Order: sequence, then C-alpha cells, then structure tokens
Amino acid sequence: MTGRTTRSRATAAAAALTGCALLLAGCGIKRTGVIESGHAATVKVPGSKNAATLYFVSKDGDRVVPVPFSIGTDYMLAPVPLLRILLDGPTGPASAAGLTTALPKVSVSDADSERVAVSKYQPDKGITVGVPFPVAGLSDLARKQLVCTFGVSAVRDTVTPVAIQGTDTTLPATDCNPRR
Amino acid sequence: MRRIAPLGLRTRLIAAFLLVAAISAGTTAALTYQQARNAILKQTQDTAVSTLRDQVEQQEVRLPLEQQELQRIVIELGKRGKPHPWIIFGEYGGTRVSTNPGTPTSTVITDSLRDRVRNNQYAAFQRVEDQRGNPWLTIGVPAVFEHNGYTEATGVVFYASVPLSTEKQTVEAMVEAAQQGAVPGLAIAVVPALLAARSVLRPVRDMRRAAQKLGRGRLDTRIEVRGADELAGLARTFNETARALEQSVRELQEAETRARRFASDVSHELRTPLAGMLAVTEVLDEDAARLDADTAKALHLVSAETGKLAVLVEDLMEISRFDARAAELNLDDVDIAEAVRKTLERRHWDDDRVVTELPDGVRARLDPRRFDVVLANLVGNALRHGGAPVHVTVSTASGGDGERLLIDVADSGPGIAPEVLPHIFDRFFKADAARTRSAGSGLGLAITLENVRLHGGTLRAGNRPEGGAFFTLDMPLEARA
Repeated sequence: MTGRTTRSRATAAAAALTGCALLLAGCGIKRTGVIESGHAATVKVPGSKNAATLYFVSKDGDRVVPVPFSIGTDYMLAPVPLLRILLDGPTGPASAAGLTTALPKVSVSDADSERVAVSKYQPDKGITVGVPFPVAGLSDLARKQLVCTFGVSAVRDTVTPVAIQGTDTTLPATDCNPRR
Repeated sequence: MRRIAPLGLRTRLIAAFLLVAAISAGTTAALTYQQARNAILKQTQDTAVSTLRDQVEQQEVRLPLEQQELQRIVIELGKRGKPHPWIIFGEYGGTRVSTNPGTPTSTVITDSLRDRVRNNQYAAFQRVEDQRGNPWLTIGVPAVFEHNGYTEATGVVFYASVPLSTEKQTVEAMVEAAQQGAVPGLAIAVVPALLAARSVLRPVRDMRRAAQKLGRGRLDTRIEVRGADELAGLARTFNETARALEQSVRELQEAETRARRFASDVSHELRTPLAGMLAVTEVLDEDAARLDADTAKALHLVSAETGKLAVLVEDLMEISRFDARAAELNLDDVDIAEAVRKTLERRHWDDDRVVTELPDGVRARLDPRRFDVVLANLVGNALRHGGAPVHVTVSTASGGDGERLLIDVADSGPGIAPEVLPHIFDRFFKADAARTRSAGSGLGLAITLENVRLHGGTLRAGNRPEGGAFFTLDMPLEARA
C-alpha cells in the first residue's frame, strides 16, 4: 500500500515536473541553424543576353566572377578575339571593381591564331579549345577562367564541358564551376 | 471531530482536481503558445525572405559591380524593409557595403549562413542572438542572372538583418497571458473541486454521524439515501443493518422483559400464600412446646424455611422493581453517624464484633431506608462470610462533581477468592460452591449494588493486603432523585 502510494506520488511528481520543463523549454525565440528558403534572386544584368561572358578572378581571389562583354546584340564573338580579350585581363570598370586575372600575359599574335580553335560541339564530350601557350603550369583559377569563358560563351544556348589543348599538353574536359 | 485531516479525502480530492486542471491548462497553454509562436515567426521569416528576394530581383546589376553601384543598390533595398525595417549588407567579392556606412559587415550574420548562400543558388535565413541576447533574423539572398538560357551566379550576395524585438514582445506577452490565466483558472477549478468533494463527503459524514448515533444506542437511526451511486448503496446497506440490529435488540429486550415480568409476577403471587403460611407457622411455633420433640423439630424447620422463603420473595420483588425501573429514591437529610449507628443497633450488631469510625456532623441527602439496606447487607455479609471484627469507616472526599461519601466495610476473614471477585455482585452467585444453601437469599449484594447505583454511586469489592475482604461504597453526599 505504502509502496504503491509512494510510486504513484513519484509518477505524479515526475509528470508535473515534465510538464513544467516542457513549458519552460518552449519559451522565447530560439536561435536556429541555417535554413534554406526558396530560390535565389534573378537580377537583370544589362547586356548579358547573348553576350560573351568573361571570367576574372574576384577581388578576394577565391573564385572567378562573370563579366559580360557585348559589342552588339545577337553577335557571337569568335574564339580568337574572345581569348585575346580574356588574356588582356580586366580593364575599365572590371579593373576598378578589383578583378584580376590568373592567366599569363600572353599576346596572341596572328601566327598563333591558327592554334586558337574551338572544336565542334559534341553533346557528350563538349568542346576542345586550343590555346597558344603551355597549360600544364596554369593555376586552378586560370584553368577555370578558360573553362568558364569558353564553356559559357563559345556555343550558343548551352554550357558545355571544356577540354584545353595547350602547346604542351591537353587538360581533360571539365565543367564550369566558378566556385572553388 | 476533525473536519479537514492533513491528507483527508477532501484535501486529496481538491489536490487531484487542481493537478488535473494544472496539467490540462499547462499542456493546452504550452501547445497553443508553441503553435502561435511558430506561426508568428514563420510569417515574419517568409515575408522578410520573399520581400528581400523580390526587391533584389527588381534591381539592375551592372557587372562588374563597382562599390558605388553596390552601395546604391544596398541603400535602395534598405528603404523597403518588410515586415520591419532592416539593415542590408551587400557583398561582391571582397567588396562589402551596408546601409550603415560605419559598419560594412554585420556582427549577427554568421559564417555558416555566408558559406551556404555563396555556394548555393538558394536563399537562406537564420535566427540568431546578438551579444545582448536580442533575437535577429538574418537572411542571405544570392543574386543570379540568366545568360545563354542558364542561370549564372553574379557573385553578388545581399544580406538583411531584421530585429525580431516585436516578435519577442508578442511571444513574451503570450507567456505572460498564459501565466496570468493559469492562476485564476486554478482558482476557478477549486470551486468544482469543492463541490465534488462535498458531494462525496456529505454522505460519508452523514454515515459517520449515523454510526456514532447507533453506537450511542439510537437504534432507530437511518440515513437518507440519495441517488443511485456506490455511496447510496452503502447507505442502503447501513440502513438494512441498522434495521436488523434494531429488530434483534427489540426481540432480546422483549424476551428479557417477559422473563422479568414473570419473576415479578411469580414473587407477587407467592407473597399472599406465604403471608398466610407465616401466620400459621408462627401460631404453630408458639404451640411447639406441647408437641413431642420430633414434631417440634420439624415444625421449627418448616417455620425457619418459610421465613427464608418470605425473605427471598421480598428480595425478588425488590430486584424486580429495580429491573422495571420502578425503584424510587425517597430523599431525606440524615446524619450519617446516626444512621449507621441506628442500623447496627437494629440488627443487634452494636457489640464489639463491629468497630466503627464515624465522623461527627456529616449530613447527607439520601434515602434512609435504602441506605439501611445497603449498610446492613454489607455488614451482615462481612459477618457471615468474613469474620469479626468488621471495621466500618465513614469519610468524605471532594470529587469532580461535588462532595462524596465514602464508606469502607472491611472484615477479618480469609478474603474473597480471586476467581470469585468478578462475579461477587451477580444474582444467586454462591461464593462457596460446596455450600448450596446459605442464610442469605443470594440476592443481597445484587440489591445492595442496585441501591448504590440508584444513589448515583459505585460499589467496589476487593481484598486487603493484610488479609480480609473490603467493600468500598462511593456515592455523592447529595444524591439526586
């Protein structure tokens, strides 16, 4: 009898305590972890439609960022001028925004321009881009600049994997991923 | 009679009621509170995230973004905070600006939020607390643009930090309301608890009172049966038991009354013929001298036995009167020493067989005839069964309800056997089993006790340590009729 009474009292006390604890634990506004909520904001970028997009290294040097380059509507820039502009590095506003390039300062002479060629697009393999300088020693950011610039701008309406054929070797095809 | 025991039924019932009320109120309040709080926070978060996204989507971002341009967009976004004013931070590469030019970076935006929105094309939010413990909602929305049919990260991320102080106040107000509502709620719960306790306790209390009355001899006690629950069943059973008990007791009483009336009637009927017989034997006794020796002896025996029979019948009638409660006190003021002396003289016990110790001037109010019977019985008994000398000591004492008269009668005999002592006042009880016939009727001490009781006193019998039996009479000096 006494044992049962004690046990039932203990149960009641435990229930009451649990209730109080629940009540207290639920109070206030608690901090949370990071919760994803919907898609990103799509902004209008003037001149980005059908323009070539060059990729330069961002100010803090951890990624490549897109810079649209347009000389007129509905005009596809040829591979040689595209490579030339890319190799020239950021100028004007891009330079003012602190963008840099990781590619070597190479001027593409007309003699070299025969090497600059973009192979025909194949949906499964992508494209191969030939450049007139060695590519084995290029940094990751430099390779990304090439892959992203040609992958996004060389073929209309598609983003393609890019293999880079330098004077020394051919880098295997990769996709453009601006972030490291 | 304790009405509220420390853990009585009422206390336990009320405690159980309050516990149930507290648990249900607490659970309801907690669940309601949680739902309401989550709804409030969800609405704030969703509104803020979608507002920031919508606002960002209306902006034109000229890539590459210069610091002045980013500053312009950030200030533009900062004006359109919803649901609360917010602080906007813009990051593009290493460029960081905010609506507040003094602090280009936020203290509440965590690195985990920054990593998440920079590496994924999703908006995200996080609730954090600043150093002072105030809650903030931080939102990160990366800006992307469409290019060549694909979405492309611009590298620009906008953050907003929204103070949640309004939500905090609302939530605290809800907690306060719940707390303030709980106390009156519990107070209100006491009322049904008391009513329920009353409905249970009233039958129990009635039953206890009835049982007490029954114990005091009020056998006609019954309980009012209310409703048809277990307590009503108990009350019904109680009533049936009481009825059966009353019936049995009445039958017993009737049987006893019949038996007593029979004894009374018998003794009454015997009295008249006995009176005649006594008269005849007295006449014959006078003439016994003229008869031969054997006849005279027989005649004396008949005469003596007839006398004893007459005494027995008188005693029987006396005890019948006590049984019928027909005995009455005829109170008179008497001097106790005088009364004792007169009793002893009348019985010719005024020689040295009886030693008296009588205080002078003690007057008592009692029935002189019954007092005489009592004293004569006690002294006669002492002389007959005990032995001379018999000590009669009269004294007074002050008791709880007035002065009391104490009379001690002690003999010098062998005393009363211990197994006999409890039955000494029983009717027809013979102290000496071998002696079937005694001088007394066997009712002497019973009549003595009834007489003492009639005066409101007590009579005790015992043995003195130095040998011999004693009887102690204790009765009020002023008897009441």
